[in-house]
Amino acid sequence: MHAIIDHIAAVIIGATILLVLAVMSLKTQDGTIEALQVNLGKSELRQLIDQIEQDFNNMGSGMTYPNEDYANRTIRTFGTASGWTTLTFYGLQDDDAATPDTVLVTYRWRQNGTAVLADGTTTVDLTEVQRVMPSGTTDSYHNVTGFTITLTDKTFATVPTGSANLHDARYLDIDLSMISPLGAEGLLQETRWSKQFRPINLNPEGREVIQAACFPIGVC
Amino acid sequence: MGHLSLLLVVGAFLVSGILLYNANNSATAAGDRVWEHQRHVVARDGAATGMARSVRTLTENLNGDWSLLPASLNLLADEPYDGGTYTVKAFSNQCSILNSTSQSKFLTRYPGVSPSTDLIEVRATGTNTVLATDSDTHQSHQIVACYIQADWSNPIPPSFQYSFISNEFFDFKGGPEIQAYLDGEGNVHSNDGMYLGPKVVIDGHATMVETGISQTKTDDVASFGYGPSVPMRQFDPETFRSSNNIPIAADGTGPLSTTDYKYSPSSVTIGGNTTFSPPGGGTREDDPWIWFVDGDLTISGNAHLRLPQWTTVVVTGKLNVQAGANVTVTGQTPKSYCGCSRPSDEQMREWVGTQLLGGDHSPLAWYVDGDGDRVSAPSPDDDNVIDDVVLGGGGALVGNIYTNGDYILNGGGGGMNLVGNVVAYGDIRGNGGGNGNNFWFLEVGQQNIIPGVLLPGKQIVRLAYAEWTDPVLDN
Repeated sequence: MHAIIDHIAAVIIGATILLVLAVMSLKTQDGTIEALQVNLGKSELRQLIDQIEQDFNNMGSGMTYPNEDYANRTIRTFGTASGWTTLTFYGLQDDDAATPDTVLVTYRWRQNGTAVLADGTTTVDLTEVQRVMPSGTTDSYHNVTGFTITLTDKTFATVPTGSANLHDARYLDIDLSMISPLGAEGLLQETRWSKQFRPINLNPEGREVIQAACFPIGVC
Repeated sequence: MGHLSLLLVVGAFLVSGILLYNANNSATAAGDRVWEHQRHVVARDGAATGMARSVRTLTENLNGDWSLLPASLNLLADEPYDGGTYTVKAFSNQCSILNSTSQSKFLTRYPGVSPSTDLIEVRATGTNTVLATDSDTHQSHQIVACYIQADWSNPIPPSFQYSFISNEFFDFKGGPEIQAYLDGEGNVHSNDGMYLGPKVVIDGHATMVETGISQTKTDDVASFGYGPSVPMRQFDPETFRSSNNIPIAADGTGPLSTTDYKYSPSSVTIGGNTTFSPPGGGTREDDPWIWFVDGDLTISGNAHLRLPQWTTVVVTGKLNVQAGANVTVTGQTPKSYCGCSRPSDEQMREWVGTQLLGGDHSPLAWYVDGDGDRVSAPSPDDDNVIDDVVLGGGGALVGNIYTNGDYILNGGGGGMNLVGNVVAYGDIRGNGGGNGNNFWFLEVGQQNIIPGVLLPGKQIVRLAYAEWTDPVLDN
């Protein structure tokens, strides 16, 4: 009888220990999945950021007088059509001294799908972002949860989509957030980045005098 | 049951282990990317430092032969910067980030520039080595810029690049509105202090040099603050007259007018409708017709003076454009153009276009000596505001105004429309009645710049700018 009781107690204690270990293991799994998602999200975010920084810093490069007039402006379009919001602009895309010709770069984005974040209740819209080159080369990002580009003029007044005054744009505010490319809903984590650009070539004064000698007059 | 539980536990641990391993790897990868980015930022800072040092070298060699500079600039190699290095490469007589068409367009704007000695391309490259194992081990950033050295007054003196600029105090009360007709900014500046009333609207920035004078910032000015002094000088009308072979007819030494000029030996008052159309005069963009007034020039209220398309007016006395007067190139004033009593902004913009006759500069220029209180630098710094140039309200005046003295704007509420800009060696004052005045900033045409306002010295102009980073440089 005593042996039976000991056996039952051992089984209960053993089962309890196993249960605790199993629960701990599952929790570890959740934690590692979350960390994995954040890190993968950050990694993909950085890839998109690198492209954006390269493109935006170079906006208007290779152009004689960016924004001199409507026909020669750097930012060519900023509008919405067929569900996409599109920003197109000119700039140099390579360092080929033999053909320093500008290229029209297109960024476009649209809402496409949803995802549930780690709290299990928050549903976020997914944004598909594409960077398209004239050759047709397209880089796509499907796990963007927020993507806004705001153009502002020299007084920081917004230049809205559809504006005819895109040549007035001097600043670009960008805000984007991303989740992991893995699709384990309920454990998704967001990572976010925002920045304001003021490309030198968007600013007519950026091309003007940067140094001058001989002032006061006669003192050179 | 016992075996099943055991299997579950072992399985759970196995899965956890795999996930943990992957998480560690991804954490390392994400960390490396952030690390890589930080290194990249440092590389970019290094490139910017190299570029700044290069520009300093260019500045130190103004007036020199820039074809000699690459030898010294290229000595900036592997200079240490924040754990990384930067290197400068310079190339004279080239700008590889602009195609030949664009380069030609620039050089046309600066006709005095000789590319072989005045054009240089600078490439500053910052590098930083990433120590993390899984990331790009070589972070580089390159800034490329092209510069020219040009005469300080090429293509136009710096003062003509402002919509309103004074060497002394700048005081705008009332509600004038300053707009840029073309792309750009109708900036205002004072080499002294500045006051802008709360209703002033400026499509540009307001800067001043002096401190300690009260200012009122308005929400309709792009920015309001301090800026470096802008050089300007007083011209001598007599030097201009003699260098253009305009004789003083009163002495019997020459005619009062030719196809090149009109000489008025004493003060003039224009009333009613007056048109100057000298045969063959005023049609030459590179050689404007000259009207030299040896005295004061008054354009009476409601008068309409029509000048040839390319005209330079020099007044040895004062200029007074009374309320309601118009000075135009074509036969139409803003009101007659729109057939209304108060043209809208859009109608005004259209009318300004008609006065330019296809050009993009103001076709007229006015040089007013004023009361003759010219002195050599520094400025006269008189506290009295002299009515050297007075504009009333209600009419329109085409042309860039340059005065050795003070400029006074009397609005009267009717609204004066000025097409050009104002450079005053003295003060600029707008009285409280300036509401409704509109100014359409346009740069002066090069042909209308008289030698007496040109400045000696050189300037550096940045022609082009681009920057490259990974992956472009790593390709």
